[in-house]
Parts: sequence; structure tokens; C-alpha cells
Amino acid sequence: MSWAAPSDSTCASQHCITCADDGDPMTVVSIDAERGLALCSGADGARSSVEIALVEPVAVGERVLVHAGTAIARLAPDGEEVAA
Amino acid sequence: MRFVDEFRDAELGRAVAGEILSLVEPGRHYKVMEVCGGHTHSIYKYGIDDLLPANVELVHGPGCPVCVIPMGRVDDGIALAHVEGVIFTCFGDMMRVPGANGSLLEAKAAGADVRMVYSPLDALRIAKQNPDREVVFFAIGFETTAPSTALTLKRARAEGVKNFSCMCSHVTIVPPLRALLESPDLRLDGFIGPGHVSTVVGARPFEFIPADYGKPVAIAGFEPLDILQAIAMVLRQLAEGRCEVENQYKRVVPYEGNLRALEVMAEVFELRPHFEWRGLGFISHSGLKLSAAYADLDAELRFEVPGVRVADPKACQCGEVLKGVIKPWECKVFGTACTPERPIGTCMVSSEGACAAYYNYGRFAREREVV
Repeated sequence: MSWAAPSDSTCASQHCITCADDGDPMTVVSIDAERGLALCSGADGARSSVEIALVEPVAVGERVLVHAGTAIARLAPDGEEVAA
Repeated sequence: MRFVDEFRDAELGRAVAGEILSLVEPGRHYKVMEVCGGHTHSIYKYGIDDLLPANVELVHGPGCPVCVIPMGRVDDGIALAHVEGVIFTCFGDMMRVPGANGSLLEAKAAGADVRMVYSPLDALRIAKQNPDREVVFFAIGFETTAPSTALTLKRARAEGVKNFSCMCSHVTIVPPLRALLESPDLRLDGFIGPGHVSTVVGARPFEFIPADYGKPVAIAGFEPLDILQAIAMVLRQLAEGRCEVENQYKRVVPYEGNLRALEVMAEVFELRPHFEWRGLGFISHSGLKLSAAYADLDAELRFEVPGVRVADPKACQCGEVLKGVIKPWECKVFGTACTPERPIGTCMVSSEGACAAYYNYGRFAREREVV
């Protein structure tokens, strides 16, 4: 059974992307190496252009943690730790 | 959904809650501060405090970047927004923060061109689309957000975008924590460390907490199980007489942080001698400004900024809430004069603010307890 979160219609139902400690796990869909950007897809299917300078090199299909339009970490596969 | 569902498993949650119960000494009162506003939000969204024994108290820390912006800084932003030809861009929550003379949203209603963006990159895009206008980005946030601003400024430089500048109000997490630990009116037993700030800075910057102050730290993720597990880690350290920095969020946080992010921040920013925090006053070396190499992109140098210091409203007790001295609902104006729709204090503005989290999830209805 999953933990049910209360739902409401305001921004408060989710972390605001604008809040500083928010991070969205997203999947890399395509990479524009020349501009240092990647098209990434979120859990809800929404796509956005993401700055990847801090996590390069990334590959299509890899998962990254995105905050304020910038990938700040590569996500480790299940059960693994990220490299120090 | 991977990385999410497994950290919301209710059975596991109950098991960790049981472990927490087994770790506490009856008769001892534990105060654990969650530093980050994201944690505060999750705690009330999922009712995590209801799973804790009565003698384990969570204290909300100063880790909401919107909540710590002082009124004078908002007024400076509004002054910039009213400059002829300026498009003023900022994150959404920042638009509702009240200054002495209204909010950025009210400035927008009065005719200023204030636009909400989701990232600094969006602000740069607006600058490129409006070459005849000056675009100012109001940069707020801790070390999680600062690299994003830094990369955007580097991009603006590389792409030769001349009409883009930044009003930098980024802050760093360690100085306010040290200020809190030095505060005579606050006794804490341990800390839940900020997850995504640590993604950038790593676990190392928090070593001073056990080393200098003898308090345990557990860096945590944002799902309910993450937070429960981090509370258990802090309590276990206390039970075993240990104090160290433990990392519950190893799937995202490396010990050394993101070195490239730290490099780009070091290139673009430098520490301000002082920065004013709402409710906490001036804290040395706690804010960032643009480095000399990027001074041409500094909105505070490009435009005239009043820089007036405004005292917080008397009725508002955000400072005590931010220091964890009082609970949000103990503030005189909580839920009456101050609501998310018409906030007086910043803690009621952002969904990560302690007061808004209490208000939105019905905590104000709980039995009033004496802290």
C-alpha cells in the first residue's frame, strides 16, 4: 500500500519547482551537445529543455535530478549509491 | 514510479516508526531540526509528526529561500521592476512575498512588467526574445539553485546577450546553521540535513556540526520514508552516544557533492561580507553576489537599487518560527491576519514555509500544545 498524500488544488499539493530544495527525477530523451542542453521527460510525461553541464556526459535514457532547469545530479540505478 | 513509490510504502513507514519508538528514552525530550523547507513541507503533507512519539519534536529550520528574504530586498526588486524598459523575472513564490510597499505581484498589477519563470534559463530566453528591453533575473535560493544561475550567466556571456542581468540574492546554508547553533534560546539534539543542497555541496560542509557542537546529522531525501529513516538515524546516534554526519540520501548525494557545480559557483559568485536574513538579522559571509569577473551582469551595479533596510512587521514572528523557537500556530497572526492568500510574513508565502505547510495541511486545528 502506498502512502496517500492529501490532495488539494493549490501549489502546496506539490513542491513548487521554484522552491530551492525541489528536484524532479527526469529521463533524458535527446541531447543537443552543441548547446549543452538535453530534452528531458518528467514522471507526468511533460518535457522540458534542461541544462546538462553539471552532469555531462549523460546518455539518452539516463535519469537525472533536475532543479530550476538544471540537472544537478545523475540518479543512481535502484539500490545503488552515487559515485563519490 | 521508480525512486518514489518505494519511499512511500506505508508498511515500511510503520516499521520505521516502530524503530523510532524503540530508540527513544522515556522522559527525555528530543528536538530535531529539519533544516530544509522541502522537508517541512513533506512532514506536514504526509503527517509524519503524527507517527512520532510525543517526546520527539521536529523543529523547522531556516531552509526555505523565499522565507528568509528580507523585506528591503523585495522592495529593491520592486524598484528595479518599475525602471522604464525593464522586464523583471523571478520564481513564482517570490512574486507574493510582501515588501514594505506591496509585493512584486502588486507591482505587476500596477503596470510593472514582472514575469514568472521556472528557471534562470527561461529568463535568458526572454532577454533574447526582447533585445530592446533590459531583463533582470531575481536570483534566490541556496546552493541547489545557485549553480543554475551561474550557468545561465556564463551562457549569457558566451552568447553575447547584453540585455540580461541578475539581482543576486543567493544564500548559503552553513552560516545560518552556525548562527542557530550559537543561539542561546535554542536547544537542539540533532539535524536532518538538506537533501538537494547536499547534492551540490556534499556532506562534508556539515561535519562542523558534530565536530564543533557535538550534534548528529542525517542528510535526508524528501519522501516520507526518507525523513522517517533520517529521524531514526539521528535518534540511533543519540542512543549510542555517537555524533557524525550520516547520509540517508545516498542514492542522490555523493559525499563530495557536485564538484563541477562548486567550480562554476566559485567562478561566478563571491561571498558578500554580510547578508540580511529575515528574522535572523545580518549573518556574515552568508550571501552570494556576482564576482568581479561577472560584475557587468550584476543588476545592482547596472541599475540604481535603493538598498533600504526595512524592519520586519511587528505583528509577524517569522524570525522566531525560522529559528524554531515557536511553532507557526503560536504566532499571534497565524491563520487570522496572516494566511497564504494574504501573507504578512514570508513563512506563509511559500509552500515550503513552515506556516503555509501547517496552514495548508490543517495543522492549525491540532490541539495546542505548550512547547
